[in-house]
Amino acid sequence: MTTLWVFLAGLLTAVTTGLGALPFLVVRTMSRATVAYANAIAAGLMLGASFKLVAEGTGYGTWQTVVGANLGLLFILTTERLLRDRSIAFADLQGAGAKQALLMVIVMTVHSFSEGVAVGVSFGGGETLAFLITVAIAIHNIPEGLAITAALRPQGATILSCVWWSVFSSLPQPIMAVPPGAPIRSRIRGWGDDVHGLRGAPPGGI
Amino acid sequence: MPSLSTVLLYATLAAAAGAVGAIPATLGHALDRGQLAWGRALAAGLMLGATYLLTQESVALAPFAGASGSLLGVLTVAAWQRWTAIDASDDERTEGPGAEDSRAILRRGALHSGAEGIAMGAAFMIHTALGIFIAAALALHNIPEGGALVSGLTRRGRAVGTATVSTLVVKASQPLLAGLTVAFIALVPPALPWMLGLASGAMFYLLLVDLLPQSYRHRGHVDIAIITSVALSAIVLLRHYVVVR
Repeated sequence: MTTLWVFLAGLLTAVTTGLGALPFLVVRTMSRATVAYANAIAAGLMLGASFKLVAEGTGYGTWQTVVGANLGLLFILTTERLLRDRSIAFADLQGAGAKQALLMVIVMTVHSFSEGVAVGVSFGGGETLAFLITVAIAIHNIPEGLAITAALRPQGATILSCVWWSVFSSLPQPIMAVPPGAPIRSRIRGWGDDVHGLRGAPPGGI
Repeated sequence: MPSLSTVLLYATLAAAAGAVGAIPATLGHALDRGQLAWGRALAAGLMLGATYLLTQESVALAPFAGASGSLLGVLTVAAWQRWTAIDASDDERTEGPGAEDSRAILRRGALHSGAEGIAMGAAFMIHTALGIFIAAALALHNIPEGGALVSGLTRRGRAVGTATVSTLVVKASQPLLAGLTVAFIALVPPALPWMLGLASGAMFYLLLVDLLPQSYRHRGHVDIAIITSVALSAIVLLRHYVVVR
């Protein structure tokens, strides 16, 4: 399997994130109630993903997962503090809405790195596994795009902008799917064997 | 399977822990709203931890039944709240819009306790050690929750003693529902993932619409997020390193 295929698989999973914005093509008006529902959908998806990630993580290392989760919280609180007194313009947005949207995209982009590793790892386990993991992550990314759009669209961002930032949040996936250097490749092969044992993706994976 | 007396003993001890929350008021040191908000955040984190563990167990047993039970829990609590006219208003407010009387606070307390009782009972039916762990976590949760109940009642003119007794009466629904849940699952074993889901959905709904919003009203979201996260982390760590199945 060539490096190009691994990169293309990662790119495919990134592009599918943009599909999550499409339901908002039919949602034309954004009343306060619609905004509230959109935020609730985004919150529910993130919460579900968080439960899943903690469950996956504790399978590999409990205290490491707990420390990582709390570092994640501190990262968000610190980023929020840094953004608080700044004037931000993001995705055609201004003010508080821009800060909220930027925070959402940062969170999604950071968490995407491990998913890219998962795609790369799966290629160490054979074509079938690579296909399965690539498709699984591609499908899993759609609600993430939905969550990002649910945060951006009510603030006034265009659909095109929502699609772009959704795809952007997953761009670490093709990058991380093709880690450079032989030593990393051999480690990935080891992880791929682990994936064969139906443990799913590496920590923080799917 | 644990004996009914074991379940009732632990659930009763957990419920009785609610009286510990009354100690500051008994000593004449009424907690201010900020301290109560911290307490609620602690209670929310512990409840979230219990919810997480029960969700894991229910999904591992039967994903569809677990998820359906969880949805049922959310809908049941939402319907109960509407029926008993308890909304997500601020129980620290004694007058003006959103003010609640003592009875509404007690009804809300009973709703929390009932969901927690089902959680304890269902957890005991997975494994005694898990049941004891969930009972211990909810006992700790009951301390700030009891404190908030006593505070809410005394602000509305009830004596500390009366408020404490009322809190304990409300908390009595915990052993009652824990016992009923164990008996029901013993009679209908396939109901276990449903009951786990029901308890987790109900607790999840209550912490989202009640505990956390009330905490945020009186403290900044940074404090509340950190306390909730630390409490949740403690549950995940203790479950792994202390509870042996």
